[in-house]
Amino acid sequence: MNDMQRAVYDPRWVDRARGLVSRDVFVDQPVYELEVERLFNQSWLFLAHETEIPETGNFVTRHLGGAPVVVIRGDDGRPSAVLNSCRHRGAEVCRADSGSLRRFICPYHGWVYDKSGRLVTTTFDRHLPEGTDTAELGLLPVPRIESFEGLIFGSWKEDVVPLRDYLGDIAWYLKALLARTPGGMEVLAPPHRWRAKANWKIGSLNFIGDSQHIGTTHSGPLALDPVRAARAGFTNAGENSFQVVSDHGHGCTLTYLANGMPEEVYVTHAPELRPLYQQCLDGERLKLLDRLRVIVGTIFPNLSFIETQVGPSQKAVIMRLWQPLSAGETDVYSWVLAEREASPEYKAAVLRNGFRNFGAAGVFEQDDLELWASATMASRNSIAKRLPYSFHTALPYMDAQEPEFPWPGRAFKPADTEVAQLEFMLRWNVMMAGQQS
Amino acid sequence: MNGSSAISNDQALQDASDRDYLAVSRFLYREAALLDEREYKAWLSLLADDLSYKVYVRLLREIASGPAEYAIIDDGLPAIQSRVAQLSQSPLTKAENPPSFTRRFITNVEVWGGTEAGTFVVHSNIQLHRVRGTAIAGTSYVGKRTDRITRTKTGFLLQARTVRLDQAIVFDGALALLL
Repeated sequence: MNDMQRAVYDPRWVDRARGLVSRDVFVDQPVYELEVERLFNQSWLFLAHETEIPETGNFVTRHLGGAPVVVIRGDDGRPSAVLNSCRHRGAEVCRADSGSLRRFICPYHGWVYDKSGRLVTTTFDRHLPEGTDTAELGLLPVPRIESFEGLIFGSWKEDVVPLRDYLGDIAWYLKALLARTPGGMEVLAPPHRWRAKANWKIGSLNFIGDSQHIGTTHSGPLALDPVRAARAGFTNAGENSFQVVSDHGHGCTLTYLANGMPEEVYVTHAPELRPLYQQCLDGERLKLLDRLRVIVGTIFPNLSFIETQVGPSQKAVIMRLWQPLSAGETDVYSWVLAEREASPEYKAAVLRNGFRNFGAAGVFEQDDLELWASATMASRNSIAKRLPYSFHTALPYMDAQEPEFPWPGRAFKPADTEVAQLEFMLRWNVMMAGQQS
Repeated sequence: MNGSSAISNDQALQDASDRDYLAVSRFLYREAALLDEREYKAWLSLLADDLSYKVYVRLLREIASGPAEYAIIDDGLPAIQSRVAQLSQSPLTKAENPPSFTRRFITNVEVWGGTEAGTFVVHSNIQLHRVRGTAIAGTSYVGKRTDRITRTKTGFLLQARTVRLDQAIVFDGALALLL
């Protein structure tokens, strides 16, 4: 691998017919650099949740693709984002994770910008040549910012399709998780952050539909959790479980209580919140949530989500960002959310139990991360790279879409195949070929 | 929450006697050694039934905003027992199988309390050095611990531990080890 070498799109990376994906795309730095250009700079990417910056002037620092940005709530009450690099000599104008500010003041030479990024003064305006257009010297704004049910997305692509169109069919499912009470969801704590020695796509694939890893990777927490241990057939996804694939590469896996599984052991949503769901959701979405054990999915390219039981009558919604640093390093961000109307005790329990399973010391995460690093390490050599990764178990099902599926998207049964993962890679392939639509 | 003010709730507490200081320090070293040697059963026997075990990670904040942190572990005894069960059994852990090589360094021990009732407030610094696989460089988790330790008829028990790690992001995957 030569880091200085520029990757050229290779049609052999994703082999749909044989269900194979080259290891190169999980380990090679030039491929990652092409991803930044063709994929991250062309897509809607998750930035923050509305409730992280509730007041004017509140900010969080994040990345949009490969670039550092500040997400801030402006004087007009709307979120916006600017490149976190001074137009003068490049220093970060915000060096904290979060906080509140009235103006951006660059700590290097003192250029001052308002909350929208407009240059207020260079402090040495008197030395500027006559006719300097200071309107041209603002912090670079992220050209497109849109929100969906509390999720703030940004895009570097000025003419990207509207966010709602980009989300497409998956929006229907997200609404059942994020807009099921009048107040919507709120984040319960700052995002947990941990660093993975693995490619970002492993995370996206893990969430979009990797039911096959659960029984082995997570045998520990599955065996040790008395609630989980009590229900038979966790690895048998159940006759009512399936994967959904949506346009633009999004998808999710829905696992339902199988017939005969004891409902009293595996309680679903909190009884005190259910009346609010009845009020806010239509009949089909209520049906979606009924006897739903886990919904886990990915918004292309690198935002994932999971709703799962984390305690008796406790359902946490977790948003998960796979923020790439390079081909082989990813910062994982994980937010735990609950309904705004929930009691403080419920929120505290959901937060604690949510991160106990899925946080920076999560009993699930620790084993995932170890194995992703292992796969990455063992794939970085010329011999292993002759052997593409196997997505074979997608193949018998790829053309067997459920004919009369009542909800948006294309559904595939059973839930424990690799259909959604291969579909994700097919979308990735289209984008990388420069044929994105 | 500000770690440095943790003692302010216990202003009534006096410096422990030299004798108690030594006894508590010996307990801390013993406990760290049990974790390093993966003597988990013995380690669990040092925990009180009403254990509170918390680990915090910091946020990067402007000085004027004040420090901020968030919990990554907030467990009671059953949850810690479950973590240990995961960590100590071959088929149940992937993160620590084969186990990494760990060495805990406990320093800057300060001890308050030690009346006959026998509750001590203890500050210490911890460096947990972890070497994973054949990696040349280990990873260090460094932080400050505030413990509440009680003296019982059969010896000391750890009743509460709060660890504030000096990092804003957890390196090297998700944290599987105990501090």
